[in-house]
Amino acid sequence: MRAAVVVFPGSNCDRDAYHALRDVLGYEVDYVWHAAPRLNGYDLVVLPGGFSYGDYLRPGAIARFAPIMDAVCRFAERGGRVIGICNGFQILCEAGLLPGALTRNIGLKFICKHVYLRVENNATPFTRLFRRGEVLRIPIAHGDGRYVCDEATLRQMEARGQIIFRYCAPDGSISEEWNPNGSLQAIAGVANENFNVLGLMPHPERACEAILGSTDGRRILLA
Amino acid sequence: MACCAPPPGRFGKRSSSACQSVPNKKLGVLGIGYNPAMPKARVYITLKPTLLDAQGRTIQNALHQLGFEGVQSVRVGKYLEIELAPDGDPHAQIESMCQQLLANPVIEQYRYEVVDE
Repeated sequence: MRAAVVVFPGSNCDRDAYHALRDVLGYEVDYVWHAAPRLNGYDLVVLPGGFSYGDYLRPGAIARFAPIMDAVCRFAERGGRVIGICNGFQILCEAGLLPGALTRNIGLKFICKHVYLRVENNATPFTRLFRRGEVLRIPIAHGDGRYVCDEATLRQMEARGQIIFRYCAPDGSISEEWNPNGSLQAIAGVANENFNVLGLMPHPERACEAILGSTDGRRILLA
Repeated sequence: MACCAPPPGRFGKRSSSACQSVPNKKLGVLGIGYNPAMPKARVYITLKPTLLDAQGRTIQNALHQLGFEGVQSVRVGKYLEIELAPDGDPHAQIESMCQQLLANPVIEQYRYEVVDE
């Protein structure tokens, strides 16, 4: 497996992703600078978390025009697997590779803690190692993670199974109490129509080693 | 969503002159020559009315606590001032900028006005 971790100015989870993919999962991993024109020979492309371009204008708004994003779009169009984590998710939404958008957390606070996630669809390359309805424990760390989209998009995504993760209680039930940022229908992660592009606010790369409190993230990145 | 009509409220009062071309008072260094009017755009970006504005709601609560109990709603947005080169169609340029970058059509709406300086 060969993976690329894209590095934007302001990315700050690129090293975590690199460490998880290379040292924990044994992938061959390269950092790819945002100004690079091409992405050749990779099986997986990761857009890591952080504050690309300082979150100026909107999170992900400037990063989506980085030179590397043309290559990411072409890679995704060819069926290549792309994971956007946190700021990476915001960038994928801004780029139109995923539906919807991420807005300010409902309580305005930057939230950094472990949350519970329910696997809503396990028939994707990223979730095939989970049971449907399985509950994962993975940390979040974001200020702009409240997922929104319009009604028609939501219905379409539900019908197609594009909602991949929802925030939930430890027993897997969904309620506003366990929805940390006020996301529409507690949505934590979505995929595109072809299920080769995944975006999620939680950080699977921070949940790959027992010493960090959870290894649930491994099976997402093992895709 | 976009329009170049003057925004309501306080700004609306000013914008009656904003849409007219104002003669440029700046002259060249030696007092000769003339700088053509530089179009300037004012762009207002706000969350769509159907979306919860978490910041606006918090500000509204704070205003209530200060005694401004009559405040019905607060919506927070962005305001940009953009200077343009004198050639080209400023409206078309700003429209294109809003659609491509300045606003996210999934969550935001925008309006703008073009003025000459």
